[in-house]
Order: sequence, then structure tokens, then C-alpha cells
Amino acid sequence: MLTSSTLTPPATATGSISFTSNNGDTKVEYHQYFASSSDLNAAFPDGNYQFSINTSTPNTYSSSLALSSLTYPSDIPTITGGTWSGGALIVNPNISNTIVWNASNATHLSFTVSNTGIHDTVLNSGSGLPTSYTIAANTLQPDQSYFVQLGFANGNIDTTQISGVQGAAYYENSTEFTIETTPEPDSGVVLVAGSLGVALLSRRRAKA
Amino acid sequence: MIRFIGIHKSVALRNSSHITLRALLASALSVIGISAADGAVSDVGSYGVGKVANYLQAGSGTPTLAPLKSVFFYRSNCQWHDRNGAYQLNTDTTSDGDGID
Repeated sequence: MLTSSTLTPPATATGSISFTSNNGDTKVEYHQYFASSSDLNAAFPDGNYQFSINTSTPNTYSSSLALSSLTYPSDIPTITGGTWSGGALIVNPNISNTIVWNASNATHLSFTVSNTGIHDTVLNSGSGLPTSYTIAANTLQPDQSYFVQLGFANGNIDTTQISGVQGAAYYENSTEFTIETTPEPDSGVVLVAGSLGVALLSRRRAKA
Repeated sequence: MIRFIGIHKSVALRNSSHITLRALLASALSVIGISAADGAVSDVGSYGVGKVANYLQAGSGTPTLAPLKSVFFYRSNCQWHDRNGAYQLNTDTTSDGDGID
């Protein structure tokens, strides 16, 4: 478990980073939003970011990740196809749905659907990144909204500074969109439809 | 969909009421790796630093750039897998949050 940690940006950074964590936290995260890339780069320029991570073992891990020599991917993640309405992608949760997007030459891809456990993060190991994800039938609930994130990233992975642990420095294009699921058929409508079916079948049998 | 205007700063902690949806999404943006750093002991899962250009898609057209850029620093027990086979890492089936079985 994490106990405390610090992250020190490059010396030229004007921004500061503070983690707040409690003993037992399994995750600590800091993020900050900016109005422009120039503001972002002024606060947190490219360079070496120094991690010091303390755990309850106890152990202290030190590592430096180089956020440099990277560019944003040339492709913007874009969902293709599907039925859109009211700004959302409409899907029937009772069947499997394949979400399709554009190809990218980025080094990493991530696909996340909130509240479902779907977290798909993939490394381009030479055969290309996937261009779709199939959400199995009944994974999503009827008449719900889900926030979805699709990201293309260019990154460097370090596996040497902390033995057996991967650290990443990356530039990413991230697209968010909403999935809205269709509601269950109204029970009254189902009852009427069923009654009509029975009546029609009875009539046919009577004629026969 | 969440839209951020101007500068926004937040800290998100798993298992905390302060966690935000954006943080939930961000937690998987670049989930890089998981391993036991010193054997059977719960330890560091992954860590990273990144800059993110955020886009929003609300129809069949091209996503629009949100008026912001972001930077994320995080460490987590989140895991990833590689469908291409370069890395295949275990899941935390014990659900104790340490990222290892």
C-alpha cells in the first residue's frame, strides 16, 4: 500500500504538485487542467520528473521519468458509425455492441467505459492498435448513460528503475463521449403484443 | 459530458468520496503495468506522468477540442494487458487493491 509520495517536476517548472494520501490508499493521482497548451507547458515543461514513492512494506522507490522527445499522436480518436442522438451514441444493451474507431499509429491505446469494469489498455507491439471493442450483451444496463474514454498515446515505458514495475511518460489525445442505452420494452406493450399474438394464433387454429 | 472551462485542479483518491468521474476516466488513460516489486508484499503498481489533449465527441462527426490541455501524474494499482502479446499481466483477483494476486 502507498503511504506517502512526492513528485518533483523539472527545475524550470512554475507549477507545483502535491499529493494527498492516506495510509492504505491504493492510488494517488494529481491532475490539473489548463486553458491552453502554452499554459500547460509553462507550468510543467518537458524534462525529468522525479518520483519518490513510499509504501507500507516499508520501501522507498525512486525513479525519474523523462517527459521529452514525445509528440501528441497525429490521430484524434474518433468513433465511427453507430446511431447518435442528442449527443450520445445509442445502443441496445441486450445485444453485443461493437464500438468502432479510426486507426492510429500511436504507441498506446486505452478504452474505458465507466461503471462497467471495461478498462482496455493496449500497447502497439508492431501489429497495430485495435480499432474496435465489443461490449458483450447485458454488460450495460437499460436506460442508462455511460461515459466513455478512448485515448491514443505516444509514450516511453521504463521498467528498469523500479524492478518489475512499469513507469510511463506519455503524450495523449483523449476523446470522451457518452453512450446511452435504450430502455427495456414497456411491460404493458409487451403484454398487449403477447395478447395479440395469442389471439391471432387462436384465430388461425380455429380456421384450420 | 464533463466540460472544463479555464483552470481546474483536483486530487482524486480511490475509495474516497472526492473521486470524480473525470478521475475515473483518467485512471485508465495510461495505465502502465503492474507487478510485485518485492515478491509477495503489496507495493507499487504503476506510475506515470503525461500530458493529455482532451476532445469531446457528441455525434458522428469529428471530435472537438475541449478548451484545455491536461497533465496527469499518478500511481495506481491499475493493470493493463496487451492484446498483441507484448505484455500480459495478471489481474488482481484477490481484490485487495494491491494489484497482485
